[in-house]
Parts: sequence; C-alpha cells; structure tokens
Amino acid sequence: MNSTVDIGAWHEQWRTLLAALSSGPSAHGTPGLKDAGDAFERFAAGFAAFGAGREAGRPPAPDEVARAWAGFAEQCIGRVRPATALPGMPAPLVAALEEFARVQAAIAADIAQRFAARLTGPAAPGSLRAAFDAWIDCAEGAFRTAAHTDGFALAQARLLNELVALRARQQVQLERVSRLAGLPTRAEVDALYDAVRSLRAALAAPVSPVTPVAPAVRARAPRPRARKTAAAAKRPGPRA
Amino acid sequence: MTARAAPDALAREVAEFQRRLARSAATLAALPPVTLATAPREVVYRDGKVTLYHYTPAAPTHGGPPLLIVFSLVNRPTVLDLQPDRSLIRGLMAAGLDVYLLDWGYPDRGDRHTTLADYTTGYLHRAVAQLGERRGPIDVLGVCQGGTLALLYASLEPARIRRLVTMVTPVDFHTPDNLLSKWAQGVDVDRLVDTFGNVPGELLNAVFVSLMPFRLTLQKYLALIDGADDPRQLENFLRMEQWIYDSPDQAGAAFREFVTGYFQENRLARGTAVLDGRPVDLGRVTMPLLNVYATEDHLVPPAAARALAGLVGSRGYEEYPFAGGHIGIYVSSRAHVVPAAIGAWLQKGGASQPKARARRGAA
Repeated sequence: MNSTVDIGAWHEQWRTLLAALSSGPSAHGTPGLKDAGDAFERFAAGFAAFGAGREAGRPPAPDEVARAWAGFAEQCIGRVRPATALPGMPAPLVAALEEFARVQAAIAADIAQRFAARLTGPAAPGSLRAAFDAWIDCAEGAFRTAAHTDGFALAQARLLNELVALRARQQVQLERVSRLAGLPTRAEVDALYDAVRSLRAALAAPVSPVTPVAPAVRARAPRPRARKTAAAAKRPGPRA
Repeated sequence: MTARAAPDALAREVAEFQRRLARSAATLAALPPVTLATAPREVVYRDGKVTLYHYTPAAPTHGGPPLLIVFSLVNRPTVLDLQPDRSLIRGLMAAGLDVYLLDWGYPDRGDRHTTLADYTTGYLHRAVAQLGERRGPIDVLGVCQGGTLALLYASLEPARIRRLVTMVTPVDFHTPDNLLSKWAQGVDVDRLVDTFGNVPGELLNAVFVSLMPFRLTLQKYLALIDGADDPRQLENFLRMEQWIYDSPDQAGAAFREFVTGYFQENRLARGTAVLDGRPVDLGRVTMPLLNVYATEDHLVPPAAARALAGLVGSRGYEEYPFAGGHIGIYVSSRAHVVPAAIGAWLQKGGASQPKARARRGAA
C-alpha cells in the first residue's frame, strides 16, 4: 500500500471513477465496466492511503484537501459560464446565475474543508458508507451555515425573480401570437374564472350534501341574502 | 483510516451494496401499491373542491363537541393517517374524540383568485357552521399553516370555537432560526403569482427539499438500502414519498397574501393582519388553547410557534412540546403520545386557569 498521500491524485481518481461509471460503453465498443473496475482500484488505493498517511503521522492537512476539491467548484462555475453565454439570455439573469454559482462554490469549498478535517481526524470513517455519511454531515453543516446568511438568501431570491421574469416575458410573446390566432389570452380566461368564483361565493351555502348532517343543520346553514350587494357577495363570511 | 479501508475491503463493501440493491429492487417489485388515509370515514358535505369528512368511530366517543381538523394548504392531510399504526387521526379517535377533517382539495386554475378570506371566513366558516349549528361551539385542531388559518378564524369568530389546539403552527415568522422566512424576504411574490397564477406544488416541494438538500436528495435514498429485506419498512418509505410529492398547487391570491403578509411582513405577530376587511386581533382568541410544537422542527421553529403565548387572550393557555421534528410529530414511532395528550387535554375541558401559562411535560 502506498502511504504517500497525494490528495490531488486521489481527487483525480475520484473523477476518473465517476467518469467511468457514467460513461457506458467506451468509444471502441467494449463495455465500460473494465474501465470502471480499473478506476475503482485506483480510487480505493487512494482512499486507503489516507489511513496509511494518518497512521504514519503524515495526514494531509484539511486545507490541502480543500484546495484540491476546490477544483470541483471551479468546474461548477465553468459549467455555468457556457450556459450564460446563450444568445438572448437577459443580462440580469446571467448575473444572477453567476452570483448563485459563486455562492454554491463557496459552499462546496467549505464542504471540502470540513470533509477533509473529518477524513483526517480521529473519527475518520472506516468504510465507504461511513465516508458517505460523513460527507453528508459536512455538506449539510456547510449548507446550513451559508443558507442562513443574507448573501445566500439574496442570491437565491434574485435568481428566482429573474427566472420568473424570463417566464413572464415568454408568456407575453406567446400571448401576442395567440391573439393573432384569435385565441383567448390568459388574462381573459382568468377573468372568466374570477367571475365564476364570484358566482360561487355568492351562492355561499354548502353545496352537494352527500350525507345530510341533520335536516335542521342544513336548513340553518348560512346563506347569502337575496339582495346581497356584489361587493358583499365576493367575500361571504361569518358576518351574516 | 483503519485496515478496513484497504482496497479489497472497499471492494467487498461495494459488492455487498450491489447485492442489497438487487434484493431491494426485487422486494420493491413485489410490493402491492401502498395506500394512505385508510381510517374509515364518510363525506359530510362538499363545498366546491373542499370536503368535510367525518371519521367513523370504532367505539363510542366521550360525547364532547366535534373536533374539526384544519390542515395546511401546502400538503395533503393524508399524513395525519399515513398508516394504521402511525395515525394522528386514529389516535384522536382512540382518545374518544369525534373527529372531522376539512380537506381543501386540489386548487386548479379556477382558484387563482381564491384568497385567505375565502379559505377562512368562507370554506372554514361554513364547515364550522355545519358542525356547530347542531352541537354548539366546536373544538378545532389547526395543523401547521392550518393552525394559522384557525387562529385567524378564531380571532374573528371566537364564540364558535370552544377550544383550540394548534399544532406546529407558525405565528411569529421572523424568529432568527426561520430559514424559510429568510429566503422569502427577497422574493418578488407579486411577480411570481402574476406570472404563474397558482404557484406550482412542485416549486414548493423543491423549496422544502432544498432546506436540507443533501439529506433529502441523496442520503435518504441510499439509506433505503438498509431496509432492503424488510417489506414493511419499504412500504413505510413509499407511503412517505407518496405523501411528500402529493403537493397541491397553491391558490395564487392566498399564496400572495400569506407570503407577503405573514412571511415577509409578520403581520400576525405584529398585530397588523387584516382578513376580509376586518383586523385580526389574537387577543380575541379567548378560548382555552393548547399549543403543540416540535422541539426539532426545521420548518416551524419552536420559537415561531411559542410566540403565540404572548399574543392570545386565551383563558387557559398550555403548551405541549414534542421531542421531534415537523413530520415526526405525525409519523414517528413516538408520535402516538401526541393525540393522547390532545385527547386528555380536551377531555379535561382545556386549561381552567385564566391566562394560565402552564407547560406540560414533554414527550
């Protein structure tokens, strides 16, 4: 067993393993299973090296692990950038996406730092499952810390607001086309729904009794007055 | 790292995991479709999409007033009767209570203008009238957001409610640990509702999952393998999944009012809420009140629920803390203590001391 801890190499082994597992048949037509098996062997050796390093008194420092894992965060942002380069995407949405990616990258770096400390600490996990659970603990801890900050809330809200704004613009364009085709717009349909709602409210009393509670109850159930005003009919309530 | 981390040990662990995965697939395939909400009940009446159910008691009730359960608009009330051995409703019936449930149904596009007033002084009022006209003031159990709606209604119509139980009910939306409220502050709710009409249930689900994203999207599914050999455990898991992802869309107008007025402006705690043109004064909630909250609640933090103590004018206010979370209070293995406590409180007539601030023992 190699007791030299090379966290950068192990990080690469993780990526190779994940790539092999997700790639399916390789380009030359053979199943990717052997690739995955080979990748797993390399990954496992790297995983074991953590323990060997710790037992030999040379565990990797948490910040060393964090630096290596920060590559993941950079890749995340790297994936966002091509998406934001789509032609026609509104600049505020692009900015919101990038801002949220930065927030997530910071969380990813914090997760890495926490996980590295866990891996190299006295309560280091001894199995893949324990390592997974430890990673979840670290991830939730890092996320919870960030999620309670104003920066996270603002970035998330801004992204949601911009996505909704995009959806609203798409709807406006769609309704223009609909009008040309003689179709009712959503506003018109909604106005009809509102009218139906007002009529239902005007009826107010329970409808469709399936099992009568008691004749006296039904007879005395609240009903709108015959000459109720339209405004009052819109808000039936216990005032009657 | 221990010797177990050697490559061959890791390979064995992965192989065992794969075997369990295969077994769980076979077990899952053999399971019958899961069913929820199986406690016997009958429809009392329907009011649009809203249904009032009466649960058929297996044994004579104690003869007290009906207990009307008012659930949240956000999820389905099936979680209250998830399975026979984990059922708040069956527990309440076992405590000798005459249980009714107001089911809001599934709002559709025709409900985008439905307001909080429609839900409370409309649907809820008519259900209360149905029950109350026959037997006088009734007992109400408001669950989660349903508790908030019940409080609004009780403040406007206190004479119609004999005793009120709130359960994991948000009252002060601006406590420091309220993550949902923090996230809601910057959201342009008007634009959201104007754009979508009704707010999709899937969107709310995504928000709830994102409160604990790693546990709720990764860990819980991997942990499912631990119960691979136990069909009963898998059935329980499937019931919960079915409930979680059975999320009604939210009527647009009511959603707008609730998020802006309560999450963003905290009107209930500040005493500035208005419903149906009338100011909401929690001081008018004078009936005995039992406030049940969960000590580990990540959706409605205990402080958000317990703020009620200083706001209501209840003649007898008591708290019942449950040692668990927001969902665990209905479905955990310890949850059976909750309906028993509610039943005991109702049967003793509610708190009897004026403005009492008793705190009952924790579960």
